[in-house]
Amino acid sequence: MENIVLEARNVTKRFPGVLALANVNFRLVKGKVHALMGENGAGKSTLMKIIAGIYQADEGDVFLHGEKVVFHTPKQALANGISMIHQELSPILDMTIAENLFLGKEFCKGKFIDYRKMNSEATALMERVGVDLPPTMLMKELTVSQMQMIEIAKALAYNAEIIIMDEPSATITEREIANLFDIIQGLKEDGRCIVYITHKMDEVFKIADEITVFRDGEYIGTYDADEIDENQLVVKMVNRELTEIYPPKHNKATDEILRVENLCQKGVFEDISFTLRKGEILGFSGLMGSGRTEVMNALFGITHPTSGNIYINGEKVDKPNPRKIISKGIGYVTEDRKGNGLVLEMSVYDNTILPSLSKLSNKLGVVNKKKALKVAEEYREKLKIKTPGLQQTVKQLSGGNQQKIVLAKWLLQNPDIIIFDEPTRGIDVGAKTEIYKLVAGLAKEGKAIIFISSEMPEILGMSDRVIVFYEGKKTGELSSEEATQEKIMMYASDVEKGGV
Amino acid sequence: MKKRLLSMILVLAMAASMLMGCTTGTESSSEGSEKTEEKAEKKDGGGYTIGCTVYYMTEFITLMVDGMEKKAKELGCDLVMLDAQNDAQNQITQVENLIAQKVDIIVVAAVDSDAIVPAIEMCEEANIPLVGVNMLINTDQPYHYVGPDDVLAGELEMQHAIDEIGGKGNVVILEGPIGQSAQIQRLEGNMNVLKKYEGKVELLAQQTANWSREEALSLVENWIETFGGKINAVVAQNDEMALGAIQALEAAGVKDKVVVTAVDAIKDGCNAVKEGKLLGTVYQDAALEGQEAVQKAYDVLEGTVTEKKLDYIDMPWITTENVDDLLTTIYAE
Amino acid sequence: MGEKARGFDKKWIQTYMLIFIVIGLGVILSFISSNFLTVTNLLNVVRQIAVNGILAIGMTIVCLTGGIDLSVGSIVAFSGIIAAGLLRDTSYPIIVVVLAAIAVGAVCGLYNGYFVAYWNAAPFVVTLSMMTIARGMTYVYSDGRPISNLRTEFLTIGKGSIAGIPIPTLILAVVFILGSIMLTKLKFGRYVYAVGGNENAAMVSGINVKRIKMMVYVLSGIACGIAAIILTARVSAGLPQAGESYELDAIAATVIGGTSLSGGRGRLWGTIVGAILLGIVNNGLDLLNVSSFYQQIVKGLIILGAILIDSKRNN
Repeated sequence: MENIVLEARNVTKRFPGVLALANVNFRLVKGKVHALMGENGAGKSTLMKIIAGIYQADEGDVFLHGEKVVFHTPKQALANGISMIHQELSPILDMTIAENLFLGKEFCKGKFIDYRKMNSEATALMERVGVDLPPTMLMKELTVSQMQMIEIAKALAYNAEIIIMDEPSATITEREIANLFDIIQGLKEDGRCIVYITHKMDEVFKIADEITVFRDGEYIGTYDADEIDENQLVVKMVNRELTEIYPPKHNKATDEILRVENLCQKGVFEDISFTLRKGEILGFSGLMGSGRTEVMNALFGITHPTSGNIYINGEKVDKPNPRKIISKGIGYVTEDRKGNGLVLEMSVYDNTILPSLSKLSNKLGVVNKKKALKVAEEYREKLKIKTPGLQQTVKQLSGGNQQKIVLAKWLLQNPDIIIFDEPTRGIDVGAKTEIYKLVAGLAKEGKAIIFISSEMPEILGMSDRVIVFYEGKKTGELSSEEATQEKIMMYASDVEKGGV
Repeated sequence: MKKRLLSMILVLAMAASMLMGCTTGTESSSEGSEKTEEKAEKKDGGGYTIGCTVYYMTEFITLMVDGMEKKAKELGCDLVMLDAQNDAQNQITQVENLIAQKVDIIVVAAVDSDAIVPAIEMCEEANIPLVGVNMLINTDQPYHYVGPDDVLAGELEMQHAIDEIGGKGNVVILEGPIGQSAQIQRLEGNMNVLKKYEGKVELLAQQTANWSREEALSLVENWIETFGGKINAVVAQNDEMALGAIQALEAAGVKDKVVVTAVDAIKDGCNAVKEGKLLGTVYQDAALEGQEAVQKAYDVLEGTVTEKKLDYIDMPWITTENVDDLLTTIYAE
Repeated sequence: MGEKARGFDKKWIQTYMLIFIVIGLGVILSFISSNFLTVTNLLNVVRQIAVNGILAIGMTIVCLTGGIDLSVGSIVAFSGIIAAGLLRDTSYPIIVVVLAAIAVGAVCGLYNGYFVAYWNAAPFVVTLSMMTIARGMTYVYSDGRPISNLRTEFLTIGKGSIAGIPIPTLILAVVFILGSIMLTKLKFGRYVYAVGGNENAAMVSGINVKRIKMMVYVLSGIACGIAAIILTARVSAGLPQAGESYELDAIAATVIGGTSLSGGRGRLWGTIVGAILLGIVNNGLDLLNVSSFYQQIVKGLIILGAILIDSKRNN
């Protein structure tokens, strides 16, 4: 018999208006990597949060080494050897790396914190995950992917028996992913259990021993990774055949609508020039932190470029700010949904109509609620946003649905140019295809699209033209025909220049 | 959601109006008779309900309230005691609440002499007499009052200070919080005396230390710095500030050359008088003041006092000669 | 389905819990004090809450953006003393005096809003500075003395009634209705919630975040000006010490009403009910002859209770 470390039986969890988990089962075997898959809102994170003591189950039991356990706090779970790396990072930005790593279990000499020991231990831990940073660096100086690696190191510091990773690869680079897999391999050999939640198929088959699939809060089944293939897995997850992930390209670019000339922002990016035409999808590729998002923020007027010009429809834009840019017909589906995409405390309705309020209200500023509700409902249906109602606060919706709301709020504005920054980050396959279709449909309608992604297949599958960034510079521009994974990789890393 | 809220409000409003309707109905019909009945009944029993609102529970007011309670018990009256916490609006609110309670008479130690004026009118409308205590009310109409003559107190402390320095020299004044009637009136008294010595006594500085020992300490330190040995007398409008001044003077080693006078005669002040650090202080007998206020309220209700006038309580000048009387009676351990 | 309905009922009860508490308190008070449930007394209560109610409405709007306004008490004093001064020194019609007081409040609010919005300064600190500046200017203008003997027409604002309802209460009702319309019907209201809920998202959505942030302080200042008129008329004098610590009562009503101090969540009617609750507690305890020392403890416990209910509602 296999050595079962943890088992969850008949677990049920309800949230207001939503049945998040219905009677699900799950078990973990010693020394194996267990992938947990399913669409957004399938209940993967919810179950893991119950196991890690963040939520409590309404019904059902969790057994650790055959004994029934109920964790009321993450601390209790941690004390029992269960550590969770969260999808949403929560570092204390004004503390150092070492302080963050050992938060709550600082090394002390008497009453005083032993910084010397803490820093040396931190360095050792970071070495294990292949990060080379001074332990006294402030957390806020790190990139998102570095923070993610620190989070992983933190889990290692607890020496936990069960390590739950909730989409650890969503924000880190290819090289770091490879590194992470090495670490996971090592942990596995140590006899630890790893739960790996992801949406990336290739990763699953690279790293997982077992795969459990959830769908709409229900347990579908557990499979050996060797016995199932990608297509079968997708069917189990979304309950339908995925004939084609990417919609066909149209590539009927017409007039130029946007021109960016020599845009610079000191210390962030330099000398960025490109053009965008109607009906075209322009892919922005490059690693996280290579300057793609920063250029978009400057273009949208969120940050202020130090030099360079922006022309929309041939007209120069002076001192851009979001209001001005929106009025010129640009929409921006931001990378960070929670940071600047949505007001989480507000309802689906309020978020959807937020940028359009001026158009939906009269001269006195009174909102025409009837009309607003009508259009919000229209877009909810159009984008198939799953919500108990328009008045639901978006906080309680899944990532995919949240992303659709961000999209809805821009589509409502009927912009000519739409910027998508990592629109599929943290979204399951089903929702991804829907987003791809939407984006392609918009281009077909004649809208100009900028599509930013770190995922190579996505860039290749969607773009009519690709611009590659590396360390704040535009290092290459490729047409759809020229673009290959290898070429993009070359431009996007230090080995460029040799090629082409 | 909206509808539900609206219906909720409607239901509430209806319930409220029904409740109000009921009480109004019964009340308005019987109000007149009830009131006279009550009064008559109370007269037979001898006990009245005296409503009182005071500006703030300072040490002084606490002593005054003790005196009021003692007297009220003696006369068989109930005392309703409210504290306005130095908020003029709150005091008006409390007067309204006392009227709503249908007390027989209201005694007021005003937060502000001006801001209490509307209370007189409200009481008149409600046919409830009002007695001022401790703080004068800034009105032209006559009203019942028991309290200190702060102008007199101001004159006393300034006169004694000037006498002590031989009728000529330099003085400084430590004032209470600007705008409070005690500050205004004590300053008026101070100035009345100063005027008589024009040319001989110079006022070097006057500043508020907000009745506070600490503030007075740093203020006088600064003055010593500025004026050097020129200061002959410090006239403080209360004991606390005088004590702060004494500390500053002692620290600078000039206490022997400077005269300090004050008002209030609190325990610490009396001790300072006994030790010879404070030349003298004007005694305001808080307990006596409270007792007399209640007595006056009782007399008004009994009809033995009809004329509205200001009654000042005695304010003796306390020096080394008579300070022991206070320390062994009022402030006995 | 049955489950859903029950869940909704529970939420409904939690939402309106405050109203039930106020009604319950009223019932209890009417049993233990025969003077509570009388027309005069209830009219007293609604008159007494007017000043705090109006300040709390302004405070709520500020808090919805995640800000706070500590200067309301001082602005009340400053606006009030200016109004009193104008009544004393000029023969301007009452309406001009009222508008002047409101304008003074608005200018003070503009100071707060400008530095909070355009200099990104912490609201706590900016309004703290306004708090002492306004108080200081009040002393300068009044020379530290009360300004009294105001015209009787003006005093009517404080003690008069229309159709049996005290004028201060009517003013509070008008301010409340205008505030509610602003927050629920106008796009401005949605912007206020959005800025408080997620400033970045609001900015990316093309909202002029800075202007919204500035406007809420101006509104709070206007509320102070209106409250100052009522206060001055009620005590029949402009007082340099008026309004001290009123900011705390306004914050208390706001918090009891369920508005989150971190912004983005709250409702105006809750604030009004909060102000009524505080008013009833004050009034009831006065009627019951409870010492003011205990009154303060009770007030503190109510604030704590409100926070506990609120945090439970959020989990």
